[in-house]
Amino acid sequence: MSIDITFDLNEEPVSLAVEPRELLGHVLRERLGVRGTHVACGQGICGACTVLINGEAMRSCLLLGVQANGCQIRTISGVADVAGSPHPLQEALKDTGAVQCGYCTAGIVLSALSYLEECPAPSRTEIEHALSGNICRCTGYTAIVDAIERYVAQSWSAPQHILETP
Amino acid sequence: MRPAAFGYLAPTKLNDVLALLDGVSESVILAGGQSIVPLLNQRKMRPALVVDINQVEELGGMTVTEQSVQFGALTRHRTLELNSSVASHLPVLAEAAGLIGDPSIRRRGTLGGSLAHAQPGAELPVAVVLLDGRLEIASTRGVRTVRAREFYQEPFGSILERDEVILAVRIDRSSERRGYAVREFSSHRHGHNIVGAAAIRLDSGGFCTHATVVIGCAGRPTLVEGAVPSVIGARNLDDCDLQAIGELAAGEHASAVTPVRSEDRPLVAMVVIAALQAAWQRSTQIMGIRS
Repeated sequence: MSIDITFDLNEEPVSLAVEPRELLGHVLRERLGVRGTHVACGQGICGACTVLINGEAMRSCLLLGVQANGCQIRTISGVADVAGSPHPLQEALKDTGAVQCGYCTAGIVLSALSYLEECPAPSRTEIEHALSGNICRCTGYTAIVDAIERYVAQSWSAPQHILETP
Repeated sequence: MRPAAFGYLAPTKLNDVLALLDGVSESVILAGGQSIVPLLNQRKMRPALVVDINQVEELGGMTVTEQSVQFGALTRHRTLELNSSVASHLPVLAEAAGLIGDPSIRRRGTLGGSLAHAQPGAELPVAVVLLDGRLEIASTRGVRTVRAREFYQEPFGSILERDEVILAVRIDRSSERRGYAVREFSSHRHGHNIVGAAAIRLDSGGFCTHATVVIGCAGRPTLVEGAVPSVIGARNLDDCDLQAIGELAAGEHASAVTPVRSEDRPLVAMVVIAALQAAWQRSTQIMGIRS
């Protein structure tokens, strides 16, 4: 069975035919060459596959590619601005030393940005709970939470739409 | 880990969903997908047809009347968690939903899906049993209403037939002025949650007139009847033998289909005691009682 789908990927329209069993994460990586998104556990536990669907962070390993039809999808590749300048959250993660192997980072950035759209002024504990679905094997999480706290503080001192480029 | 091949349809009308479930014997419903897609990925499920119900309008929505609050089956966990109407009328549902997974899981997972999947230790089945909710269920044979307290049979098993779909969940508002709480212990080593939930009603003098306790562990959500009498009539929860209540709860659950492992019993007791304490405290606040 083959189904034609069309969706918006990082603000560019894409169209292709997929089998129902192709997971969205695999469609992004293998059919569309967008490999910033990582498919790891395949069970929704680790968070490495997180993408934004219509602005909301969800697991791309738990969505079928066919379910993306008509949606706006943003992956980590669509977070930096058009000229390639990092998003302030990405800068903060770099500054606090929150990136080691980098495997979890894409999922963390997207989970954090989506969460902050819903809850723009979280406490440190709330940030930790919001990221409870993103596993990091390298950093021990402290620097990651520091970076998000720092980004939140910066966002409030220079108010701007969270997902806009600086 | 990739699914085996399956057919896929995404009807927009409920009747089309029901006809497919009736007509295709190896069909499964796809709602939020947060429980089903992992099973597809691991090939633990190999359906011939996946029926995606996310576009069925009849399954959405939330309605508040004087008598009840009714949720469409597609109500997302994140909606239950954040919606202000849920917070004011049924805060225990918000509390239970907020314990599920993480925000990404909650943005997709649904109330109907969680209730139908009947996973041991799942939070929403426990909360809906505590609230004595009613499930509206449809098939090509018609619509029936089933009490949540009569719905669950065994781990991952309920009275839901293969070709039935949950339409909505209705919660009576008559018990709104009670203190409710859900508490959970979660460990990957156990592979499932241990959930305790309690409802307490205090009269204006601060005496307990009503108590309900539900636990979820390895079996089905279980109403713990025997623990309740010792709490009724008490003025302070500390006057009750909480340890005995907790141990009774762990023991009662052991008789419901799947026994609680001996190492889990102190944890069952712990979540029950924690839920009772929180529910009592909230009832105190609701009734404006000075302790």
